[in-house]
Amino acid sequence: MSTRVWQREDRTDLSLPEVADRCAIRDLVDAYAQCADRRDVPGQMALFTEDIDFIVYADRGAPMPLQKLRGRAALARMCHQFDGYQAVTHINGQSTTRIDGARASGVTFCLVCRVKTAGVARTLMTTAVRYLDSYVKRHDTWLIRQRLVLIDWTDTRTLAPG
Amino acid sequence: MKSEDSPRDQHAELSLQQVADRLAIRELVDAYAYCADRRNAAGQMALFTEDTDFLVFMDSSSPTPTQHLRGRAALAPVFADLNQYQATMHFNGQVTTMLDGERASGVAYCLAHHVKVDGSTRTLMIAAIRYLDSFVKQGGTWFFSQRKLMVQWIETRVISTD
Repeated sequence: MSTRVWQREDRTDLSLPEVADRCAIRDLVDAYAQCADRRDVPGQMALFTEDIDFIVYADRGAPMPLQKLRGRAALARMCHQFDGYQAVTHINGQSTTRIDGARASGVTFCLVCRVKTAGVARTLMTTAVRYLDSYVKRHDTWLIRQRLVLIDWTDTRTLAPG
Repeated sequence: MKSEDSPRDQHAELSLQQVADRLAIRELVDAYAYCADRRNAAGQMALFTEDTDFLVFMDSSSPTPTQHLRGRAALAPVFADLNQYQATMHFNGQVTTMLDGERASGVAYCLAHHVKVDGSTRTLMIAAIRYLDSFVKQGGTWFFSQRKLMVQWIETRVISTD
């Protein structure tokens, strides 16, 4: 998002609770993908704080968001967008987190793949996304407080009839 | 499929042993991909328990497997099937695990790339796979006790060399 120097986290005094936090946040990020692909919208909502901010940028250079949602209820409606697809696959790549006590931030790379069927025609839409996240830990559980969805590119292809 | 829901593990009391188990399971999943791509069928089979279950669902929405293989020895033809390709690359995404002592379950995402040569034509087949795994620790080593290979979608296209 900016030209500042990439800051890596200091690992010299990593403690076991910090490792646990890192594992928990990675599982949180992967649970979002899992719930989305399983169309488990209640499960997905349970990963967010009640006052979640979910902001989608369609073009990495665009200053204005394509979509801005606040709160679980608004997000649940958006998450049903996946219902019409034959298959949805969120394939996560690297997930980098910076932890600061009960707060954390992170960047996750994801290839969002959607297969749509119309008669015998099938298309595969792939969206390359970077999620810029803020997390909070409440009652020993990490939640997503804010998620910025930065769409780098989208590609749509025709698949062989299934 | 219900066992897949509520995907998050508990982390508050994570022990060093559990961190080691998570790493070992991630390495087991990655070893499967590595052995497959290196055509090391013996190495690949050694990752499974003697009485392993290996199920292939070419249509992940179907309750009936396309193939059901029982026992480590039965896996040889499945892995030998990769020899028809000039190259394969099992590109792993997220691996989410739920530990339960000496047993564990997990979901692993993979984009399995297969390149085939037919005369001067080269085709690339990509299978998006979700592996639903059960693991067991025997003599200090983690093995697959069951692996369900769930194909989400397949894309096949001609690729050019230059």
